[in-house]
Amino acid sequence: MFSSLTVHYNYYIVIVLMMVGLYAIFASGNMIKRLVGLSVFQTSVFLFYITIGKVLGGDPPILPEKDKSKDKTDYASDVVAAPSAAEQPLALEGQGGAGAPSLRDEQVAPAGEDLAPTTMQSASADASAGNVAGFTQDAAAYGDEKAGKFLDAGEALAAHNAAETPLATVDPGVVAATFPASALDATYSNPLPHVLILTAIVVGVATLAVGLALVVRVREAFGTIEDDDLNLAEHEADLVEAGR
Amino acid sequence: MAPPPPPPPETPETDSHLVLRVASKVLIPVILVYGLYVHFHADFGAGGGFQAGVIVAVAVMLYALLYGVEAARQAVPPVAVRIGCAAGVLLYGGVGVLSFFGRCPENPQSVCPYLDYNVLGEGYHGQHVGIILIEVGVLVTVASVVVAVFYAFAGRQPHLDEGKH
Amino acid sequence: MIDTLLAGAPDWALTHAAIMVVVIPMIASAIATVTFSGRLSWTIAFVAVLGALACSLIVLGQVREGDVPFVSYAIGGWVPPLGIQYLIDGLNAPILVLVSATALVCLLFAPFSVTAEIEKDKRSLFYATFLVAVAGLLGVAATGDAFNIFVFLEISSLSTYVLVAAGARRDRRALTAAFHYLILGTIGATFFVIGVGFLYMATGTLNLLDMARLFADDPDLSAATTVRAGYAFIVIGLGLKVALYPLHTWLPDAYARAPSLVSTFIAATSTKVALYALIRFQFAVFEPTQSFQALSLAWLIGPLAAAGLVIAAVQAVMQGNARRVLAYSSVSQVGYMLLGVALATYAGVAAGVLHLMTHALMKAALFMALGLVAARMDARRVTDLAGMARLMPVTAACFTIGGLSLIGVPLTAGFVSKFALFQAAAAAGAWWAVAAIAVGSLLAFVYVGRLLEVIYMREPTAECRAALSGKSTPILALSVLVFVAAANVGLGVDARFIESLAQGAASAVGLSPGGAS
Repeated sequence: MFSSLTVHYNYYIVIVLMMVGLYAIFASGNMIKRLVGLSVFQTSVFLFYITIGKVLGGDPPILPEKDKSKDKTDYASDVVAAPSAAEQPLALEGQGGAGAPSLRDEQVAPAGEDLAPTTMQSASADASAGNVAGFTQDAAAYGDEKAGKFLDAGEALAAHNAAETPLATVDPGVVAATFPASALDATYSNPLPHVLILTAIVVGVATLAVGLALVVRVREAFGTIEDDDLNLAEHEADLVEAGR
Repeated sequence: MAPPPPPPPETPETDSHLVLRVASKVLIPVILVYGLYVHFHADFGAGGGFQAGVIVAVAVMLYALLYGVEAARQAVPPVAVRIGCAAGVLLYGGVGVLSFFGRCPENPQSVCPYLDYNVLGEGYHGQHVGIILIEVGVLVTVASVVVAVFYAFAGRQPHLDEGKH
Repeated sequence: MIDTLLAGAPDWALTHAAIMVVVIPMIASAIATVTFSGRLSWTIAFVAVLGALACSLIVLGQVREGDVPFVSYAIGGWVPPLGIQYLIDGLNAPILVLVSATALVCLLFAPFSVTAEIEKDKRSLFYATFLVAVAGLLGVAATGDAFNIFVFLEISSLSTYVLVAAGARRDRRALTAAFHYLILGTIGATFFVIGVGFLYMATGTLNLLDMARLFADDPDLSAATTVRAGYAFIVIGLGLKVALYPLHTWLPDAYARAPSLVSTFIAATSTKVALYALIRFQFAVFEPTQSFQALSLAWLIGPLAAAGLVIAAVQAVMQGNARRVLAYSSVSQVGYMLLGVALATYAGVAAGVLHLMTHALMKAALFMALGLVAARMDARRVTDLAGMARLMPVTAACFTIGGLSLIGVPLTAGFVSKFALFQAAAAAGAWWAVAAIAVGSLLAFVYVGRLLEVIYMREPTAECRAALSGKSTPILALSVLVFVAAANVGLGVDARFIESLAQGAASAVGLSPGGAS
């Protein structure tokens, strides 16, 4: 059990924060304390997302450019380079085991390594082969109704897209010309959870703002923000409403 | 209930916040510039529109804390703040709608979808310009909203006629 | 009608309709924020919702009659699953039309109601917030990306908290109701995002279609502990938003204390959109053949739905406030829909979606009728409605039609959906569900009957007469109400269109008639 604690300490912290926040929400008798509990609960979720995006030994996901002075002819190739730049940060070559997008929660992950698997890597590999390849599935595998119409949508979409000119196919030579090799081979932390958490933080701030505005209005309307007094006031109003 | 009359202007001998006021006169512009730095440096490090917007709002709030909410309202009028909230959203949405009018030969239907930055420039320059523009939109909206929330809380005159029973 | 719209629409509208349905209300809400006049704000809102309705009808037409039974839109030009994708198929196209049509109907009814219930200087922001709520709900329905669902869910929820609190002028308890709603709603959305985090951990993607593909490809993946944890969090989070039985406590207060316009709108849309998200995750993303999912549908969601059906109906009988009766009735009706979903058969899900649509229609009529009364006098208690049939006959008649539809009287829309639920439950052999539906209908008869008895059989009080004299309901608001009530009857007589929509929804998530999923 202690080995699990030292290896997965990040998840234990998330759980502790989550439970503290939820307890504060349920057990507090004051509106502001309840909002604080909500904030702690949301903070645990932020920590959860960020911790699954961390790659040990990974660099911040920023690509240095190789050469500032490019002549105009390279811009046409930048069109194909740009999408690949989005894929590079997901190259988790040496990390996390083999590329199959299967889950490894049964085994103890070595030294707190993140468990975000490499499906995006396979998606990027597919994308380099032909953009929408990662999005198709083998029609033969879904002969029966079990696949369902929802998955048929993906297949039809891929067929639809493949019939048109495919989007940017990546030419490895061009990519190598734009970015230094060391940048392409390096391992990066996953940037996507960070983006998701920025959004979630903004949502949390907005929720807190609305909640505190409601607390101010309740204070003015009722004269108190303690739960017991509020319940009493509401109960009296309910009795009036129920017909004396 | 009329707002209380403003306190008499303080002389340097009686001003107990002299150090703070002088320091803030130096610091508030620096804070604003730092906010813009955080915004433009987001390509290379932590930063972005939301963080920059909050820093800009902090400059306004510092001014309000030291000189009073009334002075801050004169410097940054509430009407401008309300318009700022919407202006950022309109900028972001406008960039998205702008992409409808471009030609994107890479796209199968040769019609640019919403928020496709390739219309703004070739190659990754389009992406660069697009991201900076939408982040400016985020900066303006976030700064305006945070200042608006501050004004709403700090300068509140309670409505005494709310539906009491 | 949809065909003429598709034929007459310009090319750019046909291409971009999928995104414009969300972008138009969002941009319009920003414009409405900077207008300081309530009337101008209402006009902007009206035009925007009309545009959103047109776009959603275009998308519905494209889904039903296009080459492929869905519309896909890649935002930013990034090919899915790398970018955010809007995927609109037979399941969510009707939801888009439902939300935008409800918003339009509410806006037509709005000027009369808002004038009575919201202060003058807050009206423009009220309409702006209303537009944000509409944009958020449409976004939840349109998007095909799991985290995007969370973002739009929170957008719609935050604006709904503000809209509910706007009822504080009439009843200060709207503030505490909004706060309670905020706490529980945020817990629900946060649970949902934790579930999405688990799914991202397991699959590495946020795109719903990609997740479905990965789960279908790899049974080990879809049975893994992380995925099960994600499933649990998502079901509980969305269950809170959909007002599944023990998680429904925010609903009665929020519906009862909000302004009438807001009650009408959120009663007809917010739980429906959350139910759509639940159906999408249950059947399209996760593999319903997995044992943990089948077990939870059969032993958790099914029994809770049946319990909520009965218990909420019993509570509805005992309420003293007319809008609380309708609110508890909403919890009960959500139980019907979830019962259909929990059966996990084609007929069950189709019946659930059918009930979703008819319930929106019924509740819109009922809340609107009460809203018209509330706009003319401060009516709260059931007894305040006494004798309304004499003083406001048309409103009372429309309320009656809505009530009969709620009970499930033949020739109304409610009968069609309840009968479909009966048939689905009987076909699946779930006799406990049949019993629950029967008991629920009986209790609906009791609480609706109680309201109708007060409206028709009692004498109006002198205060009522005094408050209602001298003002009359505007023709526009009254005609909107009559239209909605007539739609209840019209769809009860000829339900083929909504039945085809419901069947399209069930087949879009991969179920097929005549067999297990």
